[in-house]
Amino acid sequence: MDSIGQGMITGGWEYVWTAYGMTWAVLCAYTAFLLMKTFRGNTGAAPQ
Amino acid sequence: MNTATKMGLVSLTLGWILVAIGHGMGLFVAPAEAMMGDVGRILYVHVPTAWVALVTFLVAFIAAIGTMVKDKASWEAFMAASVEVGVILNLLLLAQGSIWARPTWGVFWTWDPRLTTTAIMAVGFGVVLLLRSIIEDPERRRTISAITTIIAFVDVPIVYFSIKWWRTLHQDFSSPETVDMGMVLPLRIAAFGMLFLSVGFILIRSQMALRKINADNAAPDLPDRPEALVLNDTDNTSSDPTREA
Repeated sequence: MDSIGQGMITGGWEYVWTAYGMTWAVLCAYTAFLLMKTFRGNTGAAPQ
Repeated sequence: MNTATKMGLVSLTLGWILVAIGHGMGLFVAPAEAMMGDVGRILYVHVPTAWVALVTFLVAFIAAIGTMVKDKASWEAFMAASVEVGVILNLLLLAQGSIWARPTWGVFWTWDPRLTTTAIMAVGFGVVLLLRSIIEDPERRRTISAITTIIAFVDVPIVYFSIKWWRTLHQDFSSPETVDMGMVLPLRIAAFGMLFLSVGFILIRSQMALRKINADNAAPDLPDRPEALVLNDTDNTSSDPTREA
């Protein structure tokens, strides 16, 4: 971040990468969870 | 593997391809925004997530009504899956928005009506998931979670129209007529990608939920009181006046 409130914001790529990285991490994790449960035939239920 | 799961996998694949293209264009092809600069690229993940979260909650609302009217496990499974996917997207959009707000507004969070109602939306549907995890009786779980979903949905149109109803720090609705085509295209591609991802998530998750619901419904009814399970204790139970009825 170089400047805030003075015309066009410059820099800020660290925020961009954080937002994209977090989004992909969450979506990948949920996809992996669903695929694992689907192909292992697990119901997703808690153990009895 | 049934048809719904296969359709879910196809939708997931298509969703990931479109999301990768949309996000790639948003990061490397789209021009920097006039005021926000490169920070504006966060909108290519944030805006599609927000749109699709609202659509997913609309699906949950319709499924909740279906659950109440039809009283079928398939509707309930669809509702449970939609609420779970919606909550994930909702939390994601709150986090993305906070990251975007820091360099543009100077704060990670402010009690702006759009932000506040979105947080309430996450809590409301989070309560549905909480109730589903703690209520053991399948009938009660179905009814209470459907009612709670319908109540939680009341906040969804408030979230959508909050930027019109109140003076708010959050931006107003954008229109393709006022946005450069170089920005509209990645936004649309990412939005369709998130939509397909959400459809895939819901279809696959609903099949998992359906298996659990059917297993719960097939389980034998157990007595409410653990002492009723004790064998050869009938005489003592009936003769003990201090024992709770």
